[in-house]
Amino acid sequence: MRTAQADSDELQRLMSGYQQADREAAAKLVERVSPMLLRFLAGPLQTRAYAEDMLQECWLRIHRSRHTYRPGTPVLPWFFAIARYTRIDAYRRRRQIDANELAVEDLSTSGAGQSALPDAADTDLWRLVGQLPPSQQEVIQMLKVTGLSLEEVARATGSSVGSVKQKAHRAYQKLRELLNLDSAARKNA
Amino acid sequence: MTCQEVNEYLDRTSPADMSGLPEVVRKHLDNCECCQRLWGLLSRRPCPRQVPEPVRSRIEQDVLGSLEPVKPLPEPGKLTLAFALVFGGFSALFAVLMASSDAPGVSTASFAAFAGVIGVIALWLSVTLSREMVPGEIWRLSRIATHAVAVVGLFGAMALVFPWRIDEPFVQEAWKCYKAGFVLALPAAVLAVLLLRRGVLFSPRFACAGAGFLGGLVGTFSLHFSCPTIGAAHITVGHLMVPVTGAVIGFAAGHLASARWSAENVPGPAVSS
Repeated sequence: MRTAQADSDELQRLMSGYQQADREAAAKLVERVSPMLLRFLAGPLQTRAYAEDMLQECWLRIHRSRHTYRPGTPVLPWFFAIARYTRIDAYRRRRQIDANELAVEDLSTSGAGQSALPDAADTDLWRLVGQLPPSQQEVIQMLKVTGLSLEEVARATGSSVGSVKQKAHRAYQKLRELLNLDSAARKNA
Repeated sequence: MTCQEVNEYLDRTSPADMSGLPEVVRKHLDNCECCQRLWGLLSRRPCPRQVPEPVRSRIEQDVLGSLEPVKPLPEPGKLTLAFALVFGGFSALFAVLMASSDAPGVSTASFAAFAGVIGVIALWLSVTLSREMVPGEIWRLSRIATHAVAVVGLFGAMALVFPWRIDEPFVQEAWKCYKAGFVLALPAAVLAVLLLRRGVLFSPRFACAGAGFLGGLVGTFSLHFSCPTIGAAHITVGHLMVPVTGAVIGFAAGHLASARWSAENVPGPAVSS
C-alpha cells in the first residue's frame, strides 16, 4: 500500500518534471491532482459545470505560476493555495456580475442554491458543512473532504497550524449542534 | 475523555479509518452519540470526483500546448537577501552621501540602536516579502499582524530613543525631511515591487504595502544619519511618516492592480485581495 510519504515524493517528482517541460510528467500531474482540486472546488453550493470551469481556470493559474514551486517542498499546499484563490476570485467576480446584471438566462445554470451532488451521503455532508461560516467550511473541506493534513491546510490557507485547529474545532462544535438539531427534527417529524 | 479532546484526534485522523485510534477514544465514541454522529458524518467523504474526459483534455491542451521549461524561484534565503540588499544598498549609499558631520544629538549607543532597529525591521519585511511571492508558504502570523509588528517596532523604538519635544520651526523642518525621505524611498520601493512581480501575489495590497514600507525605511535610515533634529515630534512626522506613506501608497496601488485584474477577468498571475 502506498504511503502518504511515497505519494508526496511522487508528486514532487512529477512537479519537478513539469517545471522541466516533461510532457509525460505534466499529463500525469493533471491526472493525479485534478480530482482532488475538483473535490475542493465543488463546495456545498456549486454546480458541477461551475466547478469544472473553476478547475480549468485553476490549471491556467497553476501553469502560469509553476516557476514559483520550490523543488523539495510539499506540493499539495502549493496547489491548494492557488485553488483557494481561484475560488475566492471566482466568487468575487460572480458577486459583481450578480450585483450588476439580471441575467435571466443564467439563472437556470447559476450555482447558487443548487447542488449537483450525486448521492445522499454527499448531500448530508454538504448540507451541514454549507451552514458553517466560509472560513470553517474551507478548513473542513481541505482537512476532511480533500484529506490534507493540518500542516498542509495551514500552508495552503496562509495561516498557522494553531489557527487552522481553532477553526476546525469550532466547525466540529457547530456540526455537533447541527447534527443534534437534525436528529431532533427527524424524531419530531 | 471529553468531546473537546476527541477533536484533537479528529484533526489528525481520517474518520474512515479507526484502526489507529486509542482505546479511550473508541470507548468515548461508543458512549457519546454526539461524537459518534460527527465521526460518522465526516467519514462519509464525498465520492471521488473524476474529471470528465472533455474537461481533462482541455486542461491538458492548455498545459501541454504551452509547455516550456521554467527556472524555479530561488530559495527563500536568497529572495530575502535580495530584498535586504535593496534596503541595505540604497540605505548605505544615501547615508554616506548625506551623512552629517555634526555629532548626533543622542548618545552613540542610542543612535546605533535606532539604526539597528530600522535594519531589523527591514530584515523582517524582507522575510515577509519573500513569503508573499510563493503560494503555500508558512505564515506564523497573519499579514496584518506581520505589518503591525513592523510599525509598532519602529514607533516604539523612536519613543524610547528620542526625547519628547517639539523643535521649532516644526512644520517647515518636518516637511523638508519628509519630502527628502520620500524621494529617497522611491527607487527602493520600485525595485522591491519589481522583485515581487517575479512571484505570484495572492495579496497584492499587503505585498505592495510591504514594498512601500521597505522603501520608506531607506528614507528613514538615510535621514537618521543626516538630520540633526532629535525631537520625537520631528522624527515621527518628518522621518517615520515616510515608510507609513509608502505602505499606504503601496496598499492603494496593490488594490488598483487587483481590481484591474479582476475586471479584465484575467486568470493569472493569481491575485486577489
